[in-house]
Amino acid sequence: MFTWSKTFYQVTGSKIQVNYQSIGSGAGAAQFLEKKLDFGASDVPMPRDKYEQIAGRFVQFPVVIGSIVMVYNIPELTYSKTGKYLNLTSEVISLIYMGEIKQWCDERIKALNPGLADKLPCKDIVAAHRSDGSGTTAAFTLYLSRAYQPWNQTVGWSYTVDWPADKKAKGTGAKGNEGVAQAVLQTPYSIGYIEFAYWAKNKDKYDQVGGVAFVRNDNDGKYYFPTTENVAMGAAAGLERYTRKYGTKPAPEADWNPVSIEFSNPPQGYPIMSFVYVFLWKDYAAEGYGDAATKAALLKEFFKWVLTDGQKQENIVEGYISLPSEVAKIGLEALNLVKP
Amino acid sequence: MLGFLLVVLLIPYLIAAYGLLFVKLRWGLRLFGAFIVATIGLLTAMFLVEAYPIIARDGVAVFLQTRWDPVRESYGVLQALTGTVLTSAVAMALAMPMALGVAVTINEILPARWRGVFGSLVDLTATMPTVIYGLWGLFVLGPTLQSLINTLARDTMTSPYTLFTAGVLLAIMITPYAAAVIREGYALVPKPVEEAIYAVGATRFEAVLIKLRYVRNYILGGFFLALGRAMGETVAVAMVVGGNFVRFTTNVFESGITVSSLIALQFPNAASYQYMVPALFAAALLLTLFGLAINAVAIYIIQRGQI
Repeated sequence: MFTWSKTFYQVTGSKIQVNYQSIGSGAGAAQFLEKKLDFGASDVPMPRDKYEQIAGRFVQFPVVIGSIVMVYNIPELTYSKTGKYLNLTSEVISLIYMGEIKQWCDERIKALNPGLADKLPCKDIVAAHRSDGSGTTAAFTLYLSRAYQPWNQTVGWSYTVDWPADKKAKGTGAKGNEGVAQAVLQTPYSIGYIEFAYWAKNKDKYDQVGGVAFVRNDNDGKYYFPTTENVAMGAAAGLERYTRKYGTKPAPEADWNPVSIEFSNPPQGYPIMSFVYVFLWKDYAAEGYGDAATKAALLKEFFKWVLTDGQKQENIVEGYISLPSEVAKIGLEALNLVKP
Repeated sequence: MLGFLLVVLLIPYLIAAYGLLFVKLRWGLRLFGAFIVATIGLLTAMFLVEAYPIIARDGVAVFLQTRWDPVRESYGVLQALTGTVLTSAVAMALAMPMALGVAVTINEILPARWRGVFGSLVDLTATMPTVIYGLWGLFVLGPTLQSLINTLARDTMTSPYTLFTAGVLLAIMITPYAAAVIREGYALVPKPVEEAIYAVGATRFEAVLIKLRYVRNYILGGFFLALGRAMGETVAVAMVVGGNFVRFTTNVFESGITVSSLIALQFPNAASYQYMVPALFAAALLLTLFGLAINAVAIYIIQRGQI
């Protein structure tokens, strides 16, 4: 978002400056509701209770796709030594974070990795997670809730959850994606979930201490590596599933919580992904903003650029993935609903 | 609205206070003193009001529970208070000997012309942004401590980020505060007293001990100043403490959480939950009351001891 506003500033000939501050997903939604911000962005759609308060008065749409990767640190099993990455499933990831699978040599991990089974060490797993509330945690726990029933019943999904691994096994928390990324690099026998970008930049470092896992899509039974194509495949499949289930494409004025649920754990492709959603008011004048006409026009211009030229590979921050064109179309429809 | 009222009331108050300061010094100072007391009182009252929803729902249980489960809107802050106490204890245990060492070294061992330079350097470390200490803790101190402790006793520290890491980092951060106070006091030991100590045949080491006893209220002052810093430090601790807010632990070699880092870590998304903001204010209230209690004890000790 920050890079977009910078590039947009340049392409508009230094005329339009969009200020973007990262203040946390929850705060983004909350301050948008209090009208302290002209637009909001969040890793999760507008929460249901808040959506009901302002339904019909605002639009929300995704602007970019992110994915979450599982990185691990196992000195005996580094990619640089074995040339192989681990295979994991939603069940095994859940059981690790639930504190049920305590050691790397657990039979359930061995069963997924026949080629590496004899090398998996009998060492305690350190499950690293975010200590601050975060959209990454929300997307990650939503995936586990969707893919593995017992997780949904005992833990659930949220910006922060009550990690059972902290009580029953060796769980540890770290601040920010960079904190978890660092914790996994520093801690032997650890595993962590981080945004794709944080792994992509340090791929070589992770290959020295462990690597990144192939994650099985439980719906088609295939293991997927977190590549751009596999994540995009997941997003397209998620959209298709939503359209089939509800008989219509997600509308900008609709509650997007069911949409994010359909996108999570999609029928095929890499299964752990997240979107960045943008919130805009439909009628800035009616919401009491000063200079509403100019504001609405500028916001429309900016997001129109974001959803078209902004989606080009060179304008997207490394580690994020551009929207499939049918998803970008939803955003463009949303902009038409914003009163000039 | 509240802010506006506050400003409207505050400006005449400050003008009056400044005016009195020149006309009648004693009353001006009293007005300023009352202002500080009122600020602390109002802050505590605000914490209480903001924390009211969760106290009304859970009663004192919020202070006695160790849960942090936003999915079920269930919160407890006891583990954070224990974390604050443990990290502060580790920090004080390590920082006080270091501070005494620094103070004595500067005054006794260093040649006179180096004292000022060295003293300023120590003071300078207190002005470093805490996030720098946090980064250093994240990349250097945590992993080093882990391998060190695990060499001494196998598998004691499973993660580089624990209450102990936070305690050690805090010790390094607060040492200059305690050292500055003690150093100033030590330098003020009157020359005749010093001469008397040596006149009765004390060795240099004995002289240091006697002088330290002579400046014990400075040591106590440095102790409480450093303790206040240790209890309140947020950013650096949040980065290295391990952020484990669901497990009650008294083992300093495990990941944990402190009150201030809990607030810093959880506040950005707290508004998405019904009871998290009140729970965080309850934690703030607890920390304030705890701090007041500690200061009360400090004042009692100083007054009773007549030092």
